[in-house]
Amino acid sequence: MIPSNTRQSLMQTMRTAENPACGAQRAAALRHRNGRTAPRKPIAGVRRIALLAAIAALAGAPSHAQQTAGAAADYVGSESCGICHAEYFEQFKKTYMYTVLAEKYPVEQQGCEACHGPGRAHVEAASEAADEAARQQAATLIYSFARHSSAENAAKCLACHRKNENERHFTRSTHLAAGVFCADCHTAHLTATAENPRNPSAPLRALFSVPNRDPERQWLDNRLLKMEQPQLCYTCHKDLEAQFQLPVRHRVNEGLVKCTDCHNPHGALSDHELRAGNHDTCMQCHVEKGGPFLYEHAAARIEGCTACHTPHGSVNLNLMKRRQQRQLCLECHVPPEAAGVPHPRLGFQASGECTRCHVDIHGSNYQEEFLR
Amino acid sequence: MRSLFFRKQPMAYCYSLLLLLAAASPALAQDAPASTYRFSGAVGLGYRFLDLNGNQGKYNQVLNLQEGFRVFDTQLDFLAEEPGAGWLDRFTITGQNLGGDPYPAIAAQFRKHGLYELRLGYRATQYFLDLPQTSLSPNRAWHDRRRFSDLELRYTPARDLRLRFFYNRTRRDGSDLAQSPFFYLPLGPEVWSAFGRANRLPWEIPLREEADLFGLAMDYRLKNTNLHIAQSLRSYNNPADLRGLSSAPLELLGPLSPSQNLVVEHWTGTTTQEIPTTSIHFDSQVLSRLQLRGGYVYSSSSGPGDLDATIVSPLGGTLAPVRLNITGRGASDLNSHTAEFGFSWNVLSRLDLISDYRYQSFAQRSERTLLATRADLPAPVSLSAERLQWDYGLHTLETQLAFVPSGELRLQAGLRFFKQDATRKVNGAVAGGTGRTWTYTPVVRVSWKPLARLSVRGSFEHTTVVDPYTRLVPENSLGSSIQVQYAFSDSWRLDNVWSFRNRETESLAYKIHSRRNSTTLSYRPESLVGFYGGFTYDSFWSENSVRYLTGAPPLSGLLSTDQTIDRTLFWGLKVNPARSLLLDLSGQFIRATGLGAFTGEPSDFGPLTWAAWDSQIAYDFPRLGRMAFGWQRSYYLEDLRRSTDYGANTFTLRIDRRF
Repeated sequence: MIPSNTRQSLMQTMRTAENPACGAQRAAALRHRNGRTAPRKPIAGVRRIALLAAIAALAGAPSHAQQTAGAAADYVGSESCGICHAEYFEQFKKTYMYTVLAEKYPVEQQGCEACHGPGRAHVEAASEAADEAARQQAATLIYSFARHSSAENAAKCLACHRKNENERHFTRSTHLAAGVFCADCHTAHLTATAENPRNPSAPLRALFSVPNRDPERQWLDNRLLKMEQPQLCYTCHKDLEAQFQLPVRHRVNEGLVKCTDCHNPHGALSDHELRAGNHDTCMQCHVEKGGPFLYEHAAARIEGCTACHTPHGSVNLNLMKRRQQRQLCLECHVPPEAAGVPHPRLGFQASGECTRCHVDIHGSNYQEEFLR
Repeated sequence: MRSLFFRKQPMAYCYSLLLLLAAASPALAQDAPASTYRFSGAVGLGYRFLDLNGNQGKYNQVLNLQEGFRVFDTQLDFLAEEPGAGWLDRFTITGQNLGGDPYPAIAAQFRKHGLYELRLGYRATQYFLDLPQTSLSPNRAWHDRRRFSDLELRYTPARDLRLRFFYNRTRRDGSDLAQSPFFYLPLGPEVWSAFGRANRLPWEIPLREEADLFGLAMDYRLKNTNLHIAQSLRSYNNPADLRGLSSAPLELLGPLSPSQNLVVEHWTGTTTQEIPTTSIHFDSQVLSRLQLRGGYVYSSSSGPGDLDATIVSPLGGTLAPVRLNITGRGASDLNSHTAEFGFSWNVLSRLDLISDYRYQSFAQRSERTLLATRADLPAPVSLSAERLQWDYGLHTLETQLAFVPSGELRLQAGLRFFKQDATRKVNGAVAGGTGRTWTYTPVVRVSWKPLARLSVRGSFEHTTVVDPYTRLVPENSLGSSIQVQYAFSDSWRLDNVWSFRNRETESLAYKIHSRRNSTTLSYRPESLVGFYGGFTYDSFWSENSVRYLTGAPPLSGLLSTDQTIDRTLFWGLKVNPARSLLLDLSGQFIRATGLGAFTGEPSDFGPLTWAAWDSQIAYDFPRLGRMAFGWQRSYYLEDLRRSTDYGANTFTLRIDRRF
């Protein structure tokens, strides 16, 4: 899993020893670069590459932005790609990536080839292909995300997209562990842009008249996501889709809250990949519950909001974990293991829920039992 | 001074920024030819009719879709014909559900690719909880509206440098309503005794909470190292005036019972907070196989809380009315530090070692004074000033091995480890809430895609907690989930997610078992029709021993049991039977059953049903646009509390036009 920037610098070194006129050598080099079609290197080779990479890194290996094009002849430019892949190319041209990956950058970071690698070998082989086998062979001469593992593909994207702080934990993310990588959610060339009767409305979404926007517009305005949230997340998280349909819920289907308001799909150290610690994530909106209070409810301060609440949806009032709230309170507040409850038993029954009196249950600034 | 100004005039900051941006635009456009723009847009308008029968409060809680004219959708796009040529490549505005619906949103986006992006947003949510009061229900109600305003500017002056400015304003308006006893403050029990405890005051707090968040951030890339620095300031202000319902005087029994009429003349509490936060993070590809990452976050919260109240009590009519004044002041400071460090090491070509360590701590210091003054007493009565202290530390270590034998298979196994220390002190003495907890969790994850049409994902984890901080946290937790996605053909697809979790603390007879299975089948035979349908079964069961300190026997040996089963059925069907005709049907049916009770007592709640569906027929007219008629039906039934039942039909007539 050599990062592509270092790998490119190594490949450039290798290419200088090649005969540029030799297509077979170039194709072999490309196959090596593309990983899966390359023959397995012996361990010594791996060590050698690691050593070279280490030396390069320690010597201050040029960053992605600073690399110079050492084999410009291997690149054909996006217009050439567009001849055969017109549909994809036309869509790609609408993205900010196409505008940014332009002439001001080195040739290997321009247009389609910034992601798919040098295309000359592929273009030449495809143009000369006489049968299906040859065309399939030609298809292997360029980096195709469909043929590589999620980790390899992610490394390809992260070579550039690491400027954003959100992505720094991607190598340990749950999504990557589940074989999900960047192009499962994002695409640089969305082709299904028309209103599609094949995608029926989601239940509450239709009820709340959440607009079905033009897919292309949605794609361009939302970090090139294939679909808008939460539908995109629901393609895998079907169980959560059901939770957000329950009577008490965070308003995700209604278009008010997005999954990414709370979770970082690119990975985080927090449980459930929350954007911040449990407490801090909720405080983004529920500021008043955060305190600090003079008198803290220890369970909320130490265990966080999810000690008592379930965040997605529930049939219980206030998204509590129990329909009868006192059952939740009495899981802790029974002697001798935890804070005692100096009430008579019948007092509970007559008075109903504990929060009838303990109204400031999240914390109080003047009453240690959270009463008025 | 500046922060004070911007706190009071936060939008001034935003407008200044926009002006700066506008002023800078000529410079941005320097040497750039004037760009032409393509303009497009869409608007969807309509009227909703409502026919509601039953409990309005429950309807407002779950749907709150009222009758009236609405702008369901609006969008305007300006796209540069030649991106990169002018100072603006893309300008879009969208709005949805404007004119009285509970979740309106407006967003605007300005962008020049590779140079800047400005996003402005506004959204609001209404929350209603106003249900019939019973002897068992929570005596609390809310009618509140949260408004969120956001601004984010990303400016990228160089490829390896990005500057960000962000601003968020959260405002909460409305009413917090309750009926609660009012007798817990100094001298209170002496003045109104058990009378105050036995009788509840219906009160209301008008909500006027405001929170502002300003921040500046920088993302910088130096060779193979990325650096992220951010500084933000959050302020929070919550003035709370307690009063009677509908602005009436806050009285216990009213003037008709002068001998027992407890009157709260005024009750004002104020809370303010200032929370500056600084964060620094980095990640670096130091070697071809080794990535390091780390960071540090410092946050500080501080602010006072004040209370000023006057209560007049007739003391049962035997003495002249007594005026009791209560004043309180508290201050709380919380400093938190978070440090983290981790690495990803590509040990072999198909084996990665990923490890992260984080240490979080906070120290909270609070002090409070509370005085009660009564004319017939020579000096104020004070509750002794209290000093409260929290010290907390959490070590988190997570190490995983990721093995990728082929592109189709990924195995990941690791261990998560927590060590948590909490110390609580009152006036310098260690108090309850002090303890140390250890937690370790082995985790296994598998992702397998043997066929292009089949993918399987699974996870397994087993958490052991030594000395849980609260009884809510079980000592043992065993859980697993399996997700299967299979496409039978280009038209048929099946998704299934199954999970279970068993949690228990044996010594407390505390057990929780949950099971969940979700199946969705979708059928998309051709471009003119699409269907999906799904069913989710979610079962929850818990048991817990309960013992009370006092009261009628038996005082021990009770069990608290709780069982809830949610069944969710949902479907969607879209058909294009003719070129300009569209049918769109979707809906859901929820049936929840279960019982929750203590030994020998009947359950407080029972089954409930909530159904909601939408049927829409639309026709595309060549010039007019799309006209649609929709019927939405929903009803809610609770078997044991019929007073919250409702049934509602809404009819929507709307027109959508693109231009």
